Amino acid sequence: MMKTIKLTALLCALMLTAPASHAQSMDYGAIAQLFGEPGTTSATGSPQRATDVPANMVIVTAEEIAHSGARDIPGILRHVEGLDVLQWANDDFDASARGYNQAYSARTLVLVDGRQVYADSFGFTPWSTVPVELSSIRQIEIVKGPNAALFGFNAVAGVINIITKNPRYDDSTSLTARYGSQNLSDTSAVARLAFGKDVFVRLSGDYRLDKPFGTSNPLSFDGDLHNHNERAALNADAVFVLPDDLELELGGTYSEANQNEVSAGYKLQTSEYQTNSLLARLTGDTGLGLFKLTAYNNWFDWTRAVNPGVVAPKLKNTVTVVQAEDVFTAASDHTFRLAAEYRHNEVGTPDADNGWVSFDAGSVSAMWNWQILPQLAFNTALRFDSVAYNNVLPRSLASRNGPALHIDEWNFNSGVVWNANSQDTFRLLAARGVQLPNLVQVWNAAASQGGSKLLQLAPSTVTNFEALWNHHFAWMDTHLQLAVYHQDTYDVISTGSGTIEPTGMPGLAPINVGSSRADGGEVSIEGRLNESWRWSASYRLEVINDKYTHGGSRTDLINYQDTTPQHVVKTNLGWDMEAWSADVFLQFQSDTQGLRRIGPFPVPVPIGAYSTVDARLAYRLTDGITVALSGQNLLVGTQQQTSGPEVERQFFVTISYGG
Amino acid sequence: MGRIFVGPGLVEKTWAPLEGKVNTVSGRSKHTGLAKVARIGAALLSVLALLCPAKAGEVTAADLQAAMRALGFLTALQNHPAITVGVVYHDADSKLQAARVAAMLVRQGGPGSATVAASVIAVQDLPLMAQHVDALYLLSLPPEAGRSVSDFVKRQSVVSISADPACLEEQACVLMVQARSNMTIVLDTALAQAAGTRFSAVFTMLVKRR
Repeated sequence: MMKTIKLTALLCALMLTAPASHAQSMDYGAIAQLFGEPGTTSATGSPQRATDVPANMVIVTAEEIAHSGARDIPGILRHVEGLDVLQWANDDFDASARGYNQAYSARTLVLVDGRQVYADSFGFTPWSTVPVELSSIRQIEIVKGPNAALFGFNAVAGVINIITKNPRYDDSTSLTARYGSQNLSDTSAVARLAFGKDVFVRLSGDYRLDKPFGTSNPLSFDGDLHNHNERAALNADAVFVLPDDLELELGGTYSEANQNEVSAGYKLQTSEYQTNSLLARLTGDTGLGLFKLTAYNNWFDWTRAVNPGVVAPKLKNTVTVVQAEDVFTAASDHTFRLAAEYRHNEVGTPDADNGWVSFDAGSVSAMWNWQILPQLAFNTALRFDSVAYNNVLPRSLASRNGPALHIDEWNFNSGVVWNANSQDTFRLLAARGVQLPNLVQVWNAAASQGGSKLLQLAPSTVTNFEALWNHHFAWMDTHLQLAVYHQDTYDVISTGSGTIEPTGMPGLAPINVGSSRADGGEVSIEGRLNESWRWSASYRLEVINDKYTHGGSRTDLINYQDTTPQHVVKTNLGWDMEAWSADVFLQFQSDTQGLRRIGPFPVPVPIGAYSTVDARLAYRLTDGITVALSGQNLLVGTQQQTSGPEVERQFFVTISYGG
Repeated sequence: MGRIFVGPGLVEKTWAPLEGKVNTVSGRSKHTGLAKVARIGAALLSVLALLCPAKAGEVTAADLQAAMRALGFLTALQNHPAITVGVVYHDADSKLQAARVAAMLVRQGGPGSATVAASVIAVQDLPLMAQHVDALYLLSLPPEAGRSVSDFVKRQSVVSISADPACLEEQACVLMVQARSNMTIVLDTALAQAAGTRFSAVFTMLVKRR
């Protein structure tokens, strides 16, 4: 920790002695106004227009979030083309780009303003703990395919970066109350305060209460299930405009969620989460480029039932991250980004002294964007990560020193973007990303192997090759995108037991079992009929082939090829007329399978093809106050969408002010 | 769900409140009476601009709005409550258009909530002009006019903006801002450096540079 503080102090000193600086952070609102499209840094780290990014990216704007009628972030994401969202229970979701979705989905990295909210302990994102209110979101940036050269490990299927409104530029003051079926009550507030011209603060909070689905549960369950789900979140952000127009951002978050959910072992369990984070970010537009220094710490505490009547010791995960980056231009044709990162990640059961596992990771990365011609750009980014694990084994073992594990890996993202004319853009993309075994998997493997040997567990690597064509039809202002892709995953990791057992005994150790290959295509089209009507439609075809050459008799294999739907269709029709606004979302997915724990084995069970409809009808009472009626899964009362409990139809009324 | 982005961006077509003033500077003369006419004309033009596609060489309301928004990223003008813009023309035919453009600029307003005071300037008068302006808005100019504009830009450390791509070849404009089906913004980095003008790094990375 002391090293981190010293490094931070050194970088701060460098920043403050840099040449005089100017306007600094991204003003997303001004950029969208000027260019008529959002700006983003989530493709390369450099500010870019959405049309210029060398990536397959979808940006969901604040307006689209409002139209979605969703009451949480997964409810928004389920409408996004190319994203798979599994709803396991009321308030329990997993999201993954391009299939490969599972309970505790590990392959899609989720961040809020660049801060990771993905939990490394088990490698998943507990969405209820994400401390962001919908009204404070500026846009959600979704990159499909690996983007590990920018974001690092686990950004292999995709990245979801939630960008919140900057209190310096955006007034996000709002009050929202929501009531509905399943005993839903949800109240959130966002306040933005300005102290003179140099200090801006945003405070937000939310409290949500609802009850789990009452449908029959086909899964075995651990412990006593809660009869209600509960979520509370607080968030404070402050932006200080410093002399020389440097900008300092300080942020803190707290969230707590108690809910029923489906575990990675495909059993129903109760979980109690508590998360905290602190963040400091210094940004400057210096003569040396756009410089950014970020330091944050996440604390993630988790208690869950692991056997009937047995609650696991509290699992504590602490992540410390220090990042420094500089984005600068050289000549008129070249943009570069240089970055370095240090990360310490630790998980254990300190209350029970049953051991722990941690890693220290150092990373360096570089990005080069070359505008070869006004219409043609080439982009490439490389990142090198070096990860060293340490672990202490359970008390029950003879030796508490586990085997060492050291991982050195390269990631890359490369792309060519050709704006052939004002109607057509072509992109060719290639990328490689690395998915680390989660920390509990490493600990299980170390405890199983014991001794002082090197640990025999490799990370998964994902390569992705993709071609995109975008076309704009002036007729009805219609935008078309076609994408075809091929993706290979090597060294697929079995899940292992995925637990630090309360008895102190190591669980089943994961192993590398083989590879998996995906081929797919997406077509999406959207447009306007006139000022009143909006519409969009997308179709995805994806075929996955798992080739597992090891561990055929194991009980912890993930079946990707049968659990990813081959055909997915998503459509939206929206209408705006003066104070009224209405949206209908229709989704269809072909038959697939889901894993269900039967005895010790997760067994594939069939899930029939299904269609769902979500809808929202809103009326603007005044300039600031809107009342909306929303419904989700409207076609039938209950519906099997996963191998877990059936999803129920939901209705809710939302009254909102501001935002 | 989610927007698919290709080439063309949406252009917002709203107007700022009517503020500021229009001056015509041709040599040393000022015709304040023209301002009223220009304001009425600008209002009509603004309606037409929304309805009709732009012809080649024509400055649209969207071009001007984008130009003013781009000025918001100029570090020297950030948070200025008022800015002055000179609209540059080269002959009698384009003088009336310059007056219309000036009136539209006044009507639209500047970056953020800044008001605009606009002057109409003959390109022939630039070498001797001592009046301060924060920015020049260039109508289509003949190639031989490029030199006097770039000299003025360097001497006065101002930003020159045009919707005419030819201005880049003539090295007359620091920014080419054209809001047609595409929002196209090109920054002449050499001229900007020579003029000592600086945009935020975020902006320079978002636009095309040459």
